[in-house]
Amino acid sequence: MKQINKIFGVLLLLIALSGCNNKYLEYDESLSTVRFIYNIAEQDSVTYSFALHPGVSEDVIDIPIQLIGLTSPVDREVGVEIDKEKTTAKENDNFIIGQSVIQADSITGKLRVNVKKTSNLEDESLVIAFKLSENANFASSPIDKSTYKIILTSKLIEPSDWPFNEYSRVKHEFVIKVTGKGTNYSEWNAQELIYYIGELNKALYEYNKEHPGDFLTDENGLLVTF
Amino acid sequence: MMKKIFIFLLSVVMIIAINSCYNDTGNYDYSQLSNVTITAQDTVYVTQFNTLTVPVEIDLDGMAEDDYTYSWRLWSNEIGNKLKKSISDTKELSYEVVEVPGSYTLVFTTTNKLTNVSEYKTIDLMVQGVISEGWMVLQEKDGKTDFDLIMSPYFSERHQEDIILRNLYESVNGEPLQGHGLKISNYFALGRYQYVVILTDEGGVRLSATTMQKTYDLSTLMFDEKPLQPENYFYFDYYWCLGRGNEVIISDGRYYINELLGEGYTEPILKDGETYRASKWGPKQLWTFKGMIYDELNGRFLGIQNPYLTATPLPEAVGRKFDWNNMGAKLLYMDTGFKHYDYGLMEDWDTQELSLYVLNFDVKNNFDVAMYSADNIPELANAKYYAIGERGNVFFYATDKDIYLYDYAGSNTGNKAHSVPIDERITNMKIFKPLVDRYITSHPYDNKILILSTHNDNTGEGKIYMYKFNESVGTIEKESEKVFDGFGRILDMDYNYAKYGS
Repeated sequence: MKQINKIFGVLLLLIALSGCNNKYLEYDESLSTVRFIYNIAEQDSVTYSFALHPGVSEDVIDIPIQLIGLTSPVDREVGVEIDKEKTTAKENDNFIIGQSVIQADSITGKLRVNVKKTSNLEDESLVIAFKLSENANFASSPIDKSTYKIILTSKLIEPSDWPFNEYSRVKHEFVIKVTGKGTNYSEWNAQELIYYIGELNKALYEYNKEHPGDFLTDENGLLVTF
Repeated sequence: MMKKIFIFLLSVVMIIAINSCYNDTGNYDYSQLSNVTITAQDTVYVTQFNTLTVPVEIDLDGMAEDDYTYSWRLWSNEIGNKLKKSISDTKELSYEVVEVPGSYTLVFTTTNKLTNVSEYKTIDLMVQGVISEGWMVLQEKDGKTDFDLIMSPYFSERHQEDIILRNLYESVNGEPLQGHGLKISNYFALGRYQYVVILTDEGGVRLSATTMQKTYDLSTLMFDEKPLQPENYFYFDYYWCLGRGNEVIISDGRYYINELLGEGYTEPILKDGETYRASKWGPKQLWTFKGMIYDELNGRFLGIQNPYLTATPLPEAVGRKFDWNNMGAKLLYMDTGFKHYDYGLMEDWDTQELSLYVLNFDVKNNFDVAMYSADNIPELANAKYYAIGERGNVFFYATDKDIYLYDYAGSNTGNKAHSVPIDERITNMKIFKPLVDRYITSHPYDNKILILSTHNDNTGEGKIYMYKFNESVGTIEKESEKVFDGFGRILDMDYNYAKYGS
């Protein structure tokens, strides 16, 4: 009987001790890095056209960055360097990179880039290419999310949400002149879009009336209509 | 071993015992706690616009009532509702509840004047709604515009007796309506979207149809930001498209349209320098077109179509009864009538002759249905108010004193049908039309009640008269007269639909 009690006792002890066995996966707390956040289409670049922002000669572009790893109670600077091989824009003349920081207890940050309009942007597009680099705070970034490009231009480009049928540069300029808006047209609700198309038709009528025989025509030789 | 345990336990007991001997020498200012007890219901129900009374029993522990102050406070439990107010400073609460239906907290506080010690009783207050379908009466009284809501067994089976909610706008919104009233109307789309619109000479407001809370200043919904000079408002649903429709504001000759669930009013698109001046009236039975302007500038109709609500002239009217592109007349009144046609009374620009045109804009072409010469119809030229029935060839018109029935489809004559009392004059006339295509499909009095408003210039009192009439031919049953009084100068009136699904 004493033997049986001993066996039971040992078994109970083993069962109790087995409860202390930690089977949870452990996160590698030592891993800490960052990556760029691409848009839904996974594009690794953004085009900034000064032509879409009338009257603006300097602007700020924020490129979002995602933390991979655990948050920290202190601010951590992100290592960013210019990819000189791919960059055609001139630092200080066309752009200035600001400090990029993942703030304390935050899982995202941003790379702030000041962009400047120069006369050569009328003729050519310039590229600013960045890559995330290893530093004391963060290890190397995943290779597929470590680069980003800004394409600077002063030419009009067709916005992805262009709502005025056929696109042309002349039509786009006319829209900006009448509505003061060069991009992000999807910000208008349906009724607002109707209102602006009405305003564009009125303005187009007035323009054509003031230019008899020389109606507003686009770069392809087609009459502009809305 | 036992000895050690005993010594340990004894030590613990000693420490506890010694700790209780600690002398608290702190310098505190103690107040005598009150022995007041408050007894009241934990939950109270009240109907909006009724008087709230809450019986409270207080045991003051032998103190005099004068030694205490009392207060009642109220706050909303609804997220986003920041209402918080004091409603009484007497023990006996008697408060007319204007708060919108919902859940509230009511707190009764009694405070000892000498010690400032308070006792509280928290009560859950449930305000139940009372606003339902009924007849809205926009009026001016004592220099202020507001509206009353008549809820009656005439309009709904849910009411066993007549109830009139007075000055609803100010009661609910806590501020008077700005400007002089012009128009009150309703909007009902897809069941879920119901509101009331009031136009004034200073703009207007949109209200929730179920609570009458202001939701928008209309001026904030006008994209062109031109000052509102409202002339008319109407809503029309598309018969062939479940629940969809548009609302229209006519302001300073401009036709502003708000498509279903659109978030603002805009003029339609006009191409190639097209211009117009909109009549305050317009067709409402539409499907091919999203809207239809009667252009007073050119005496024609302009159809509004997709894409993007573009207004264009209608197809040519070759060989038709009349030329809808060249009416050459002023539109005096238009409404949807029998067989869902639009009936327009027009005055020729040159001859001033009157004609009644019947149009069908539910098709893509051949809009002419009929034209009746109305030039010799008694007092029609002096008429100020009109009402057209949809269940028969019924056309009422009224001067200041008399109501006439125009038998356009039969003898093409007009006959006096009724007169108002000698010291009153008519200020408005409507036919009761409570249906919404496909949503509210039947009502026992649909198109069977004529509603008049009158004003007595000597007493300043306004009245509402309701009469049943034969919906096929318009004969008024004078013995059915029902009167509501106690109004000011009535400016306009319309039906407020029942909350969908209620």
